[in-house]
Amino acid sequence: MADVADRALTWLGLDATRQRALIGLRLRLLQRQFEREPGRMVGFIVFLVIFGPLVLLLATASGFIYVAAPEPWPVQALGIVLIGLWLAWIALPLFAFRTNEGLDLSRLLVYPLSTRDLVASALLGTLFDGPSYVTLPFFLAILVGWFEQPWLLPVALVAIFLAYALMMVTGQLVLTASMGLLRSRRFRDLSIVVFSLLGSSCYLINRLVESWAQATDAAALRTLEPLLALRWLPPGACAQAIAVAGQGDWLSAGLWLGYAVAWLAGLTWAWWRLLLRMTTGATTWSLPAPKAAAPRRPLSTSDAVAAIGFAWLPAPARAMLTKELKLTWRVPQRRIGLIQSVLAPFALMVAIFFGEMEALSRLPEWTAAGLPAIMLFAAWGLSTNMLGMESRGLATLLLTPAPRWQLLLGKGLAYTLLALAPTAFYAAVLAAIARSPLVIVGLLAGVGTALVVVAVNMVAAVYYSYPFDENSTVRQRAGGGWRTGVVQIVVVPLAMAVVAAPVTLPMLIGVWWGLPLAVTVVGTLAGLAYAMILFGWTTHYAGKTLTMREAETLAAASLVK
Amino acid sequence: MPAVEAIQLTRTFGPKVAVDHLDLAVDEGEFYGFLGPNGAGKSTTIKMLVGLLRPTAGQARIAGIDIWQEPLRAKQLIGVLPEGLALYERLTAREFVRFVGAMYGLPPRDAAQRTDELLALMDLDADADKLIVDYSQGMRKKTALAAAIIHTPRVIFLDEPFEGVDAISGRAIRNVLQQLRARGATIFFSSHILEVVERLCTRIGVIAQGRLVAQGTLAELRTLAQTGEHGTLEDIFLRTVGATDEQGREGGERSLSWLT
Repeated sequence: MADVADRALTWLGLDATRQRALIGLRLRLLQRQFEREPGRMVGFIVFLVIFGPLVLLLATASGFIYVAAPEPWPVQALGIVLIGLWLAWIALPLFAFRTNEGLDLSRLLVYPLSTRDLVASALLGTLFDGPSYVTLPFFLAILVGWFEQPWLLPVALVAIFLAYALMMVTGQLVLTASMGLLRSRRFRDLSIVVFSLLGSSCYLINRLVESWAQATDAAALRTLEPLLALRWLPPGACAQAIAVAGQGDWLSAGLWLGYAVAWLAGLTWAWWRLLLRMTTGATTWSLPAPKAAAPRRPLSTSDAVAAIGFAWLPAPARAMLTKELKLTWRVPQRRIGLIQSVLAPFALMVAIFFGEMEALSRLPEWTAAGLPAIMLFAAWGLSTNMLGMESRGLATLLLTPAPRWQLLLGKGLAYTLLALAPTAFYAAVLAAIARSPLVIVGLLAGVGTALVVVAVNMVAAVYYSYPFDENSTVRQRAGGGWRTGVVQIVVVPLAMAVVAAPVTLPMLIGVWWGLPLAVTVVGTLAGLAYAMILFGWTTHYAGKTLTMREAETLAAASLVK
Repeated sequence: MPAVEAIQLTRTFGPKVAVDHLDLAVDEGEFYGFLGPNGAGKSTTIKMLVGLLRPTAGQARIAGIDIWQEPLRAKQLIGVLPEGLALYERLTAREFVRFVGAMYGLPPRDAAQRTDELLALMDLDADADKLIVDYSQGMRKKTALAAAIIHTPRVIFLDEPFEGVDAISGRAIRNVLQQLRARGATIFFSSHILEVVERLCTRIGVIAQGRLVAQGTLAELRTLAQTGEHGTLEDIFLRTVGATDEQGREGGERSLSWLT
């Protein structure tokens, strides 16, 4: 069997030994992805359980449309499905590039491989890529859809083959062309943020789609014929060939298939040329080189905040605060927390104004009650694993003689500030609409909540830090073992709920039971004072403990085990 | 009183003894080279001496202060270029060095002035406002070194300071280290580049399998290793770490069967 395969490869002008080695490499890299991070296997299984049935459902639905939907929808749907798959083939490898080393052909350029061997290995390698298996059920649905018209099957088979080839070649072309871009640190940063925010903005997208669907005339949707435009794109031409063959126009079908073949030839040629350029050392697309450093500003925003608002802090605490403000923006995984703390209040406002919460009639009360919750989640997200988040810099930090309570004070204030800034903005907007002092009261309780949440995370960080790699391609790596996991997932939230109760309850009781404003304000201020005292005490306690446990904290957060 | 002192310093990782009852003393003003093959325990020893890795047993003292009893007092006296560099990669070099200056309690103006001078000396001033994550290995090393010496420490620990550094940068680093030593600083450094150790160090310690197998000046080590007066540090090193195979051949004499 192996002999036959070898002979076939040799007949194609390929080096069988090298092809075997390249396929072996691809398989091994795939296997290593799961071995190196067992959590990824869990993610993969969850993905299969959730998205596997979804893919099968969509493929079945498409097959049902091909068979049962009235004209012109079967062919229109076919066009949409093929174009959708084509776009997925283009987009998914770009994002998978971050985690799948096998996609990076440039690593093979140091070896004496011919362009033909590179092309063949890339194409054979797609057999191990997820999109191949997502595509398969959709292709089966097409065959089933046109099975009842057997005279169409030859055209459908050729069209499917061409569509698959176009997907592979276009995907590889885009991947090869953007290799320089994909390897850049800036693309990696951007993709981490975009991926995470896509997930968390589902609610808003859902809202927008619902509004759009309600505003759109259903009759207009029925008369849409997207294939009229899509047929000019490569896989659209394949769908159009099937469509016209269904009408008995075999000549047009042949012409459309010829058009798709021309696309395939052109794209393959472009990919080939690009690989040749790569093998001869020419570069592919990349982001422009960073411009020469701009003239230094005397004071950055973070420096200004620290210098103006926190001049009273000891120098190490102030330096720490400034650093945290900068890094929360510059480290992509941390930037997500910051952006989410901006989006969360926005989602709350959307919820209020879409009337989900019968809230408009009691806007001041809802706002006052909502602000501490928003601050809680924002501060929690920003300050979780606060020492591990120092990443490689933690060793440098712990080598310095700066009093540890000062370091924690600077960090804690930075997180509180970052949680407060967007919330305060929304609170101001809501206060202007609601015209009620209760919003301000809610914000004060929110500040207190943020302080106690940060305090809890401070203690958790000293005892239960875990590694965080700012250069990793995923949002956050959990590597602290089961005990750290239990603490972070169970103990920390419980502790937060307990210590936050005295901060928020006076405000909540006052607002919901309609107590006199003065009583509510006094209760809230007392809660805030408690939060400040707790924050101050915890800072000193955690600082003292950290001084004695530095080696253990560093070992727990170390990236090298 | 020694500037650096290890007393029966031991570290185990499970069954593996990485550093085995190490006794070592480095006097003030010395330029001490710490040599050993890969995995001999050099970095582990340095980590225990600077307070980054808790010893399983034994003591580590800096100028008489036990770094595990009074960590902040001891850390005020030292500057460290650690293994792996431990940089904040999303800060610029200028921001990073200033930040470290602030951590050592330097007034902001002094920290800024020293940072500018250090970066100019390391030939990093043109790139000082670029993020460290975009730096080459040599630039990172120079940034880490600048941060390690911004507070004029009394004792400087350098773990492989010349690895991955080009000749020009290497010269700059050597000059800085010699200046620091001329001012009375003690330098404790590990390196695989024996030529540099030979040229710079006043005393050399060789560690193998977690134990200090030889220590002394170059002349003393020649006598100890019986290499003769023209023996190089490489000869001494190979003899003292016992890098021989079953046939009694030294590591450098082994060869590949298909090349002979």
